[in-house]
Amino acid sequence: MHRLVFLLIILNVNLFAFEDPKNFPDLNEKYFKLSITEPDQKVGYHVGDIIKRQINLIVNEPYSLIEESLPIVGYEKRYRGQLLGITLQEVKKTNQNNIHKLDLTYQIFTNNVVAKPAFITADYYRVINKNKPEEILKIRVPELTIAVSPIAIFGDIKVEEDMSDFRGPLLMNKEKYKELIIESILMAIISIIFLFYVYTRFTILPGFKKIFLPVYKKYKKRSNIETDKLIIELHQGLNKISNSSIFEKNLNDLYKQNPSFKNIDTELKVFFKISNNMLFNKALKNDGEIFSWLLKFCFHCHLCEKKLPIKSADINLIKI
Amino acid sequence: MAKKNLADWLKSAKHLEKEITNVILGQDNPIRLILISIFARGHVLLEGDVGVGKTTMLRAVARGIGGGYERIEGTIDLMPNDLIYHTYLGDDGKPHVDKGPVLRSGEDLSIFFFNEINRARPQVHSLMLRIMAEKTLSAFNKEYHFPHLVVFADRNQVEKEETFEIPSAARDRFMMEIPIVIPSDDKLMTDLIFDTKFHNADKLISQVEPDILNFNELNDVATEIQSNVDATQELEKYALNLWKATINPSSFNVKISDIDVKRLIISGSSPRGISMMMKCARVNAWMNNRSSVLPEDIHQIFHETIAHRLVFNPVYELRRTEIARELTTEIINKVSAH
Repeated sequence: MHRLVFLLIILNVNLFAFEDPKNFPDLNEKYFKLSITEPDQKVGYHVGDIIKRQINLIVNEPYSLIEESLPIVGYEKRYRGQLLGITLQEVKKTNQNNIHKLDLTYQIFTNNVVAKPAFITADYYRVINKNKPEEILKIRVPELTIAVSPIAIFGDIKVEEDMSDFRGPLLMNKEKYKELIIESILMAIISIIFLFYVYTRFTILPGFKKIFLPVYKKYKKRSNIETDKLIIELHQGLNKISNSSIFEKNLNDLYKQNPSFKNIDTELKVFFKISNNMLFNKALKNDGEIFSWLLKFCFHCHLCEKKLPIKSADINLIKI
Repeated sequence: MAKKNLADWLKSAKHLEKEITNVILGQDNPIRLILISIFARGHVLLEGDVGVGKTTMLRAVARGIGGGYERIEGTIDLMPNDLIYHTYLGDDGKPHVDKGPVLRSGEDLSIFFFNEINRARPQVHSLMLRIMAEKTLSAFNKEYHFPHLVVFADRNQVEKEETFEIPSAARDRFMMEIPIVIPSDDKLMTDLIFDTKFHNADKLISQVEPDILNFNELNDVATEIQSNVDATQELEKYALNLWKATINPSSFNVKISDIDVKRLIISGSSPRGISMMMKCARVNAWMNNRSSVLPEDIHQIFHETIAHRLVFNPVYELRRTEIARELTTEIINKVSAH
């Protein structure tokens, strides 16, 4: 007989365990306080997106929460027997006496391609009367309706209330895209600066001025004409580029090092003529016309140094 | 001598150059260098294989400048007195003494060609060097003078047996060593084979107009050229740096593949050598119708006036020709003129 009673008790407990939580009577609202922090986003969810929900529950005496009735990780939500495609991934519980805080993280696995409502179904947390253990009641945590689609679902969600400049229907995490936009803008700026340096006539980056541009700037600013000094600095620049002493006869050594100088071959020959007449023949004197020609030639050397094209119209010869 | 005269001399020099280039094919640069040495009054070593036309070229030059042209072949049994006289039994059965090649033309001797000088003994070299340096010779109790003499000597670089290499001090007496190479142009080579006018050297030389230059005025012209062609301070500085580079090439970052440049040079160019270089550079500037020397004038004669004076470490001496060419080219490439 005792055995039979024991078996019935066990069976009763098991049956209680499988009982549908909806069947329990509701707890009177004066014994509990429920507040839910829902995610801002209601629409535009896609596979893999995370939904976070925070539930704060205060259960007053003589009732206490049955922790076993709380949702468990891995539980897949069903609606009318069908999987909803939303899985509880993480549960963080913080209990302080009768105050219960639950941080629930759901992840969407649905693969619906059409506009379709999705929702986290209502949960039923059970409470027990400490004074009357046979009295078990339920607290209903309402469902959360979302849309697994960029399109609004009639009746349930108002898309116009959920629009944002940064988060359109297709965007889930604006921060990620914001960072990407900033990085792209930075890359574009760097690329533009680099291209500007490579393809423009003026070196704008510090330390990249090389040989001829400083000479050009130095002599352009000077008011007095120092043709002989400019010639010497031009020679030194050409020697530096070719790593040898350049004369008219071994100009090919210069062209081997930097073929761009071939573009100003005729100017180089005139330059050597001027140089010989100024430094070794003393047949020329400081002359404004020659000086300004040498300055232009210096700038052309700078363009060649940077391997920039020189228009044939810019090639200017002078009679010596 | 007025400037006008120098201009006339230049015309004559150009005319002679043209005459010689017409009969000697593919040797334009050596011909120019020989003319430079004649106007700089310096002796010349010719370097080249046999049969490349050295003698023909010299005979053509001698015909153009006039005066006496003498030659002697260097042999191992050649003695100094063979240059001065030779003895023979005359028709009368008595011994006779005749003047040798050096004395035969007397003061009019303008070109003396010593063929294969390195086959002759050092005592012959020393006599020749004295004649070259002092342009005098004591013989038959008399002092002979050769004021217009320019010596050309040829040395056979290929054969080394039974030869006496000219010591560096002797080489230094020569103003230039000019390489004579076979022309590489196919057309010229074909002409040398098939054009029969090049097969008879005597006939070829006879085509050169004689006495274009007056050999006995060349010394004065040479002095005039040297005093009329200027060198600026920049050029002096450049020549000085070139000289320093021949003494210590590594200080000018001169590099030659497979050669330790720091160990290469035992002795660089002598002061005489560098002054001869400048003499030639002045003549070259004059021949290019300029009154000032340009760095390019030095470049044109640098190898020929400097290379043979450099004394190399014996390890590198066997490769002298090749290394000297690389070294002088590299010195010109590394020493800045500006």
